[in-house]
Amino acid sequence: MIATVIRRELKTVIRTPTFALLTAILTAVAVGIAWFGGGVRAGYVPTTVDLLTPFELLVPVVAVAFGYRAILGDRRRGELDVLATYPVTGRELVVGTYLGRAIGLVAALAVPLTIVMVAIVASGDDLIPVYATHRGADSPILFVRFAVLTVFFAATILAVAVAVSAIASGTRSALALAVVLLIVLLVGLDLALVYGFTAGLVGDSTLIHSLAISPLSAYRGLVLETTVSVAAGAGPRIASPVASVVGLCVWTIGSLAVAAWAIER
Amino acid sequence: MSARLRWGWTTVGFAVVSVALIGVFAIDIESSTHEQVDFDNTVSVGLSLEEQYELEDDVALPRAQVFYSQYDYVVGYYGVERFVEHRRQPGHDQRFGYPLTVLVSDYSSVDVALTSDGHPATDADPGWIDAEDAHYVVGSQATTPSGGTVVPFSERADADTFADDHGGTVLDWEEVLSERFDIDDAALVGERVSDDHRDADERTEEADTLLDRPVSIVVGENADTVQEAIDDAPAETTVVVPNGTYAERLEVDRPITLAGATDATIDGGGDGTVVNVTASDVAITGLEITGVGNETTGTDDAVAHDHGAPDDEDEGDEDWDEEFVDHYAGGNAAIATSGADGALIENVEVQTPANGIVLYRSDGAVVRNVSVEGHEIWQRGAAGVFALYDPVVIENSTLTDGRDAVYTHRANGAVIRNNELSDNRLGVHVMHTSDLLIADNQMDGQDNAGVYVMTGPERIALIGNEVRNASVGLTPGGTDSYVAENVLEANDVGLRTDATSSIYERNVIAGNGNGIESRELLPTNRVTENDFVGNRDHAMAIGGPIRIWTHDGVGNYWQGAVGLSDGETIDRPHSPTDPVEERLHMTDGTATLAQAPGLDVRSGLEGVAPGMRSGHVVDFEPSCEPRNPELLERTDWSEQAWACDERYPT
Repeated sequence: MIATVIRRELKTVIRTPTFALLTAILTAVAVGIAWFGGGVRAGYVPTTVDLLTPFELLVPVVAVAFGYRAILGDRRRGELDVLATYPVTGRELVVGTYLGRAIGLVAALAVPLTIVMVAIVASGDDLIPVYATHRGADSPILFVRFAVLTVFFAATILAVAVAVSAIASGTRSALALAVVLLIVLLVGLDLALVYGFTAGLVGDSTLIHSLAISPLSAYRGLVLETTVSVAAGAGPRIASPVASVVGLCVWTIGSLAVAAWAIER
Repeated sequence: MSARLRWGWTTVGFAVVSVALIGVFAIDIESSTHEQVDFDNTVSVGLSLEEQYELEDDVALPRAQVFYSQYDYVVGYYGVERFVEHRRQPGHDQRFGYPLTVLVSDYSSVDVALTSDGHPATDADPGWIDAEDAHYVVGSQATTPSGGTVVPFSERADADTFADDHGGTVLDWEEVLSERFDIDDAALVGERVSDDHRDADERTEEADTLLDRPVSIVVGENADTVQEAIDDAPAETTVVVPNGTYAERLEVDRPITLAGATDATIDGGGDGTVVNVTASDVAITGLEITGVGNETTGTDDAVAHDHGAPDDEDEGDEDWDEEFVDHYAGGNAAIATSGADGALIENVEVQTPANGIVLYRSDGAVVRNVSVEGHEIWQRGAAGVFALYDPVVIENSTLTDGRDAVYTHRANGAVIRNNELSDNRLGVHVMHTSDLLIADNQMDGQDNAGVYVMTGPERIALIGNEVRNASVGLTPGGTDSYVAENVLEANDVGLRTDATSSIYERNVIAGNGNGIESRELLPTNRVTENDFVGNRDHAMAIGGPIRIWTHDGVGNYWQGAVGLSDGETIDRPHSPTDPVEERLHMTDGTATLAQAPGLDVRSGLEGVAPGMRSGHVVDFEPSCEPRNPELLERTDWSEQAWACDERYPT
């Protein structure tokens, strides 16, 4: 039954021109920054560095846009009541809806990331041919890591957005909740970490793990640790990859659980 | 297809994708190794072209080739110690990343002996070995032209044997990395400027004593011609040339002083060199010289031919530059010296279609207060003052309308100061000359460049010069140069930085087309405390990686840079090559656009992994106010150099 729900969600995504528009805008921004920042000609890691901060801000916005009305729409059109007569549990409905939207979201991210990567491959450096060259620590694999982490990060935020859509009772409350969610995600959690760190609630030894509480910091830490630091060399540890991955997983699964609970309520 | 089968395929597909995605993170990128490359294809440092030409054929200097994580060219170092010291410089890791692979010469693979200069000579090219596997002899008698050098061996026993024969101790790679080596860098060149001036002062004071010689002969009284007087005068005396025009060509082959009265002219009749000096401690003062022959290239009475090149220090007759010297130093001149150590040429006025003064192997010669007016069409002229092979002092002179006002060829240690150089092709043309001091010269209207340093020499100081209306103000080349306190105004390009490992500080670069044109491949220059005002483009960079023009928290003043400020530095990186920021000082509204969040977010992390951002210059600590107001006052642009919190010119 989940497959049916996924298919239905995919159709919705395809039929909604807003999602295509979002993809186009994200693509334009990503390609623009990578191009004008010079990252494209410099290589994979410099491009990653250029895109990281903009993506921290833009990807949550896109992910929330993909998810904040997912289940709410069903509720408002009365489809939830119809679905209740089908042999599909609330949990299956949430997972199916989530996966369907996630596939759409992955496509929305894949377009800009692929274009940027192709641009890097195609443009190369304007190096002087008489000298011996090598690629340094730069590698397409590092950019693929960045892409995978971005998708993972987006999927996490989408789960939270789906939870919002399950909790919200109307369009207006869903929109308000989505805005609140974005503010909390983009600014609130990191500020809370800063407060906790300066107030002594988060100790020096635990900060690196506590970063995982904020999806933004978890994502940023993972990217810096697995791509940028490979080229930049050693220093103090940037992030705990394990804690960050666990943090993102907890956000994802927890949000879906909340959504399922809200539907079955 | 049954539902079960489809689920099966879906599961398999999902598993494959998951494994692939996780695998992306499991691949170890850092451990990739690099194969050696031909050293000639590396971007190399540590040896000037002259030094390279001078090496005997069997000399094989210890070298290193380094593959950096963020630098796409392979960097070649002459001397392992140069890499060690290079790596220690602040900002090195930021610009190059860390070394992924270091390969060093392996002297176990060859038979090695030391030449009389201490350079390692081998029977074949040494192979390459990973630096971590080598054993190093440190502190032995082995040298490169720059000084003591570290000799690597793959076999410990070979290293021990070498240390027994030539001294030194055997260390491993980690120990070598923590060793300190003395390398004359650009900072030292800057510190040495006052010493160089003092040495030149001593030299000129010594030359002044030549003017105190007693008068023995007055031309017209005790002798009929100037030449006769010269031939008759006892050594260490003065020959006086009274007012009048003397149609003669002279040969001075004894240590005398030739002193003109207020209006004495020697006219060579338009054929050949007018005065040939072939003895030490000759002084020529107070003369006007005209009628110089118009041959600008090799002739039969070339100084180098006439007086026999005292060339014994270089083995073999065919020196690598002999042909070149015959060609260029062979032209006609008003005064040509050869082997005239300690000569003084003062208060001489020259009009010449070819060279003014040629100083050939004349150690410590002084040219002072001389004026040379060359050929109006520089293509037909030659050098105002041409110095070859030995350090000379050229000061307080006016050199106009020539091909090169001053031309140096292997005149290591020469001093060129306080001259006025105008309307030549080049103000100072530097070939194969290291340790040169070019200070406090006024240059105007050079067709090509104020100073053009070619052939990659080392340790050149360019300080306190003012260059205006040239195609390029200064073009320092080579390595470890010190370029400071120059005023570069109204040139097409103010400063073209070909030199690497060099310091460019406290210069005023105002009203040029391009302020700085950065062309070096190695990002090893320190560019700080310069003022950029009124240039169409303050800076542009060609090739190579990102340039970070900040050092120790100090940057440059960029007219137009915006951001919050504490009154000293601006709390926002400035990139003079950014398409918006480069127009901050020209276009209304760019200040607002440049601070848009969409543009700001990407500059934040740029310094973390700069990589090969071709053509980018960034200053992380731009200065709010001009750093050199006094120098700026000498330009037309001081009014335009508004402080960052003023916004408009006062």
